[in-house]
Amino acid sequence: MKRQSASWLWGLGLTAVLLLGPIVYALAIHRRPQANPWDHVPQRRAHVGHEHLIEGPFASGQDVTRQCLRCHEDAARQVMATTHWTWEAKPVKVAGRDEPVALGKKSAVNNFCIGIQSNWTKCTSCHAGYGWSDAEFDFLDEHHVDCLVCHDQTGGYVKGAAGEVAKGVDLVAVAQSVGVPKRENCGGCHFRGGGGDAVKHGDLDTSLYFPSANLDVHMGKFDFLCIDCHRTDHHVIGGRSMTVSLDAAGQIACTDCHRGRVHDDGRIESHLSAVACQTCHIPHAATREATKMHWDWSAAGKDEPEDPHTYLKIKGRFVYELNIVPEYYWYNGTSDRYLLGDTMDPHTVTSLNRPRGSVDDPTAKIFPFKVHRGKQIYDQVHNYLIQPKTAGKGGYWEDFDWDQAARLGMETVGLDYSGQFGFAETEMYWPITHLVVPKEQSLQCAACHGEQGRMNWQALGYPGDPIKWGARSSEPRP
Amino acid sequence: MKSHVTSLAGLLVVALAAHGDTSLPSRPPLHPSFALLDDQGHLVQDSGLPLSTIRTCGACHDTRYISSHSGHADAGSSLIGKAGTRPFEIGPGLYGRWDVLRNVRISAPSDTIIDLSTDDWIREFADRHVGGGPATGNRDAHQEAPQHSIEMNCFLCHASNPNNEARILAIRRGEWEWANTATLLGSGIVEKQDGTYGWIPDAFDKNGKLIGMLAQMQDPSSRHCAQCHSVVHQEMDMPLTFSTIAKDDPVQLKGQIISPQRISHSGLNVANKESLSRAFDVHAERMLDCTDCHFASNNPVHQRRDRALLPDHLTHDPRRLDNSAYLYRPSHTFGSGHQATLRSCESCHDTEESHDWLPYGKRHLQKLSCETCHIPRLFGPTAESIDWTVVDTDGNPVIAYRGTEFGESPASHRLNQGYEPVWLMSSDNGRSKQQLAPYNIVTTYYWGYGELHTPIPRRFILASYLDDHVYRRDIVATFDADGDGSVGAKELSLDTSEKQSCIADRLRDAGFSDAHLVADVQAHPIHHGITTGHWAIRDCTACHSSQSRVTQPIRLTKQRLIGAELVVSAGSSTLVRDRITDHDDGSLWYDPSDGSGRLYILGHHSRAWADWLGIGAFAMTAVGVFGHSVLRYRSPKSPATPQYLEPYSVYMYPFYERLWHWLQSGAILLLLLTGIVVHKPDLFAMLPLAMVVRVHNVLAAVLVANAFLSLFYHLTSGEIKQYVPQPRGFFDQAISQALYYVRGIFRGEPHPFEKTPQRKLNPLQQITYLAILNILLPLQIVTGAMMWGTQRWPAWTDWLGGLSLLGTMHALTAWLFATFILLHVYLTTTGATPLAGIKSMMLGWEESGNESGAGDSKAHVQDASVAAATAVTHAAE
Repeated sequence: MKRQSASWLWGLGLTAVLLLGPIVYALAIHRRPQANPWDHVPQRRAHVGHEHLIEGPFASGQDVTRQCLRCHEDAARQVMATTHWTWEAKPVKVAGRDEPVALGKKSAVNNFCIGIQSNWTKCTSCHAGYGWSDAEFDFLDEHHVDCLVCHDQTGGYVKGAAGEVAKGVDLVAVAQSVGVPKRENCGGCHFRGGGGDAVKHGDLDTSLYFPSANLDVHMGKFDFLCIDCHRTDHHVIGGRSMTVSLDAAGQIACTDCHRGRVHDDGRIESHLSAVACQTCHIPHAATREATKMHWDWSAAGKDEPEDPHTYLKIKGRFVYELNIVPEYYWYNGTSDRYLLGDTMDPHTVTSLNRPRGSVDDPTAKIFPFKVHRGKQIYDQVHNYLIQPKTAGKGGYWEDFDWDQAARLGMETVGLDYSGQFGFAETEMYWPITHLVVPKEQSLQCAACHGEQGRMNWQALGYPGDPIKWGARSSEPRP
Repeated sequence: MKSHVTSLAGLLVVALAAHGDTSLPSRPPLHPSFALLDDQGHLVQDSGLPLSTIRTCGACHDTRYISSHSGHADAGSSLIGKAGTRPFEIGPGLYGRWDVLRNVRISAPSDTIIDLSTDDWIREFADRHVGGGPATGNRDAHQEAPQHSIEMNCFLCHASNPNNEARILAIRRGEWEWANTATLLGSGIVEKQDGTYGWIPDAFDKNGKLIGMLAQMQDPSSRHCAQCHSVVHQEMDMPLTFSTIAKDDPVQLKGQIISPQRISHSGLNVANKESLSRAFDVHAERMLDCTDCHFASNNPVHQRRDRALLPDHLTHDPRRLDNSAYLYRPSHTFGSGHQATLRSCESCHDTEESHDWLPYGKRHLQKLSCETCHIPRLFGPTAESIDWTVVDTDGNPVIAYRGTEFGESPASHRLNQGYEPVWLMSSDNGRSKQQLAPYNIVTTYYWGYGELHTPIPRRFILASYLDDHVYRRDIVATFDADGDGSVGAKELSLDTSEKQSCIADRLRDAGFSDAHLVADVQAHPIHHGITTGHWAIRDCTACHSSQSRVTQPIRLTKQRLIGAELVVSAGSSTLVRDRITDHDDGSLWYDPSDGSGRLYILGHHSRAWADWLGIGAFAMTAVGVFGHSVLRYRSPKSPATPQYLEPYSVYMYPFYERLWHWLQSGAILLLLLTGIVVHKPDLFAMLPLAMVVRVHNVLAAVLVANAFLSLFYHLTSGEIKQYVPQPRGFFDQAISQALYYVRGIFRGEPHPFEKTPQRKLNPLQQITYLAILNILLPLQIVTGAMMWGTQRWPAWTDWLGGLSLLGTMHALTAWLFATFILLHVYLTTTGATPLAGIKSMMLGWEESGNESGAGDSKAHVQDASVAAATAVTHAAE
């Protein structure tokens, strides 16, 4: 009997296979596999409430850090290995330079406030540490690590000069509130780059605290946090800024989640070999808050009517623009970098971080940028840009004396100053990669192609509009 | 001629030089400068006369060839005498047919009452006609004082910024000789001061030619076409609105909007606009110009040759005009639906490749035009009905629009729902096949006279109502129902016999003794407003359901005009009068269900009688089985003479027989289940129909393969004998078997025939299987296969009666199969024990037992071993 039962099951199985096998096969060959981006979105971990774990009182931020390190023993060491602490990436080999170069906010020059060296106390209010007020700061002291700036959930944590805790902060409440970093933690520094809301990036500003779906589809419609894309491992936060990076190690991309074939439409999909996702999906930057487009330092020092968006005596003349159409350049993920001491031609525009790539570079794609242009101080004899001292005693903002500011600043960075200075035009490229809008608002063909298109095809290296002249791959090249 | 060649050669040199330069402007200045000539060939700046396009452009181009090979110039005047769509029309073209939006037509030479003379027509259609053709040809009998002719206007389509408004105004004012010159007003070449045209000396160089950029001529862009045709809106940043739509713009016949703009980004008050993120027209979005499909037929870039005219070994004929020959004589006969020169969808799109997701893709592509699914809804202002029996004080008819709440113009703030076009069989789709295609149907009410229902000219209608843009006093008296002293929008309708006779009397006084009301119904094919597959109709149940899009009626008019004679002009469609239905609320509808009657749509069409017949057979069998089983259960379980003293087992079914049986059972069961879903998708809306159809087809293939393999087995093993009745004594045996089922079984009598491996089937089974295997199964396989094969061998399917017959037969046979399975399963319980039959088919071994076990309720126990044990117990007793 038992033997018979087994044969019955065996027959049933065989029948089922013969019947269902062809069905499964037929359905499988007609199904187009569609990758689901949600498969790659990290699950957020529940955070342990710390309100009963921490008592206080705390005399200083460093005291809080000591308390944190009692349990999170490795945390400070992890943070200290990241650029949020060092403000300097690991040295990398750069084409055209003999020695490997280490670059970061620590030493980079820009055309906003120019550089942090000699101006630490102001700039380091955004440092994830306490007390970086001069070149002597001890980067090896774990207790200087600022845990709270990223983990505070009260919104009441404020940092002041040199990154020290501002007066009046209730450290106990802040320490008890700690949790996974929210947009407010990241945005506190990154939305206010350049010293104010929306100044620097053009695609990062305080409108992202409470975004609508039309502003940013990920944050607005799906309630993403920064760290959902900028995934963090042992306090190393994913992503690189091309304004202070020489390589693209650890960079994040849309394709981290949007993998495989992403458009139903074959015509649109065929753009992907030459066009970055951001190009079509971020039609405009600075859509809610105006961003700084031009800064003329040479106009500083005059007693003109002041307005933080047009003219300040300490800084010069500005142009802010709202809802900007980005500029488009080939970009392969890396950029050239002007380093302090590099000679420049004062009669042409000096690019501080020109994106690398060209129509001939198969790894490059057309990418949107905010280009910040300006005039900044340079040494007329040595033909290099000057790192002036602006903040603090003897700085330009105190005395309005360019010569003195240049001398003090250049002393600090260890470069000669001839005593003759002028103002040269520079430009800086800011990649537009946030503010992704819903697909219904992405660019349509005519935005780039045709007579009214926003692309300058010939400047990009095409013979003409590729809709008629063909893609770069179809064009024979010498 | 020689000078032409020289200048063209120069032109090509310019072109080549331009190509060598890497910094090309977006549009190379290819067109050389030229002199403007009057009709005597003199420079206009010298003579002060109007320019002649024939002379001016004729310096390089063969303008006589161009103007005589242009549908735009001809406007149908060469087709006069050919049948229009209405009996009173003198031709099928613009110059010949009745224009329902203007209520005017060119009169036939034989007409005694003249509607439009040629000159009237030129004035009336100044905004639609490019000159040339009737504007230069011989005037007909109704000629007034001879006017200047208007040459075909090259600048209207080739100048960068033609001044069309000035041109139209010049024609309407009677400044015909200046009409083409007026097209250049505002371009810095000519100016008009105090009513006189004057050439601007600065516009010409010392050689007498136009200076630099003023001479720029270009290929016509969509913007040029939009001057006269439909709504073409190219601006991406300027939200599209209807503010500029003229009252007689032909867009109102179809509602097509050709724009790259997303509907959601437009300025229209469209319902659910936020979700409509598609462009109005995908080809406009993808930056095609009108001329990419409607191209000059001898343009060497686009030129198409009819494949049928090519020899078999060729797919492409590279011999074509060189550029200079084309530029000398560019044909201006652009592709239209009647010509092979038009690009149809298939000339760019590989339809089969892109529709591989669609079950029966080929069949769909045979029977549906691309537009049918790819124009799901239109949002332009689209007329449902045009009422010319009344006029407002501006002399306009009352137009009811589709998709708006109260029929008002969508230009107003009313919510615009858009409308779904009706699908009619069409033979004129730019294709040879008969296909369903989308149409709008416009009903035009008008006052007609004569047997042909000729429209009474508009001026008589206006005169009947208006006295210098004010309603006549007797009109107000008759029409003013609410007594407010004016004729309101709701009162402006001939809804009472008083109103009708009031106007009829006036028209009789004007000489129309038989003035009567006519309702003209005409279908207008829709080809634009295409969207991508994502937005196209792709839900199977849109058509394959009881509420099929294919048969969806369309409203012709909300309130039909009592007493109006209904006249249907079909045009290219299969619009038929019989399908117009009256509804109780006074509305008129067109029901296309039979106009497309050649289609049998699975899931929508079914023959009710076949279903009821099948359901009846199944239900009666079910009742019979139930009754029989109850009687068996309640019959006395008197122990009959035990046939077998000891129970024993027989190896009844070898492995293969069991395998094919269960495979077939499973296939049939699943085929019935999936079949009913395909048959009545409405009842199973949660299931994806396309997937069910695919599963059904795969199962059918499994069933057929299994049937043939088992036939092979039965033939080679000789087991086929089991199914063949022995002729001798067959009827007696059959009768005794039947008697057993109706009588013996209740008395516990033994089976009349012992079931043995050599003889598994009793006579009734034999005859049943004979019928099933020779009639039912082949019928089901053939009908099913031919339904599947309709896209591969449509001729065979049609020969077999088409889907209509095949589908009906397939459904009916399916019901009979279901009935058979019910009976079959029940009869397996009549063995030694109720489960003995099934067990033997599962395990191969048939337990033979005490017959008294049959009908014993205990034997219904699920577990086979318990049932066997019960049987053994009974045997022991």
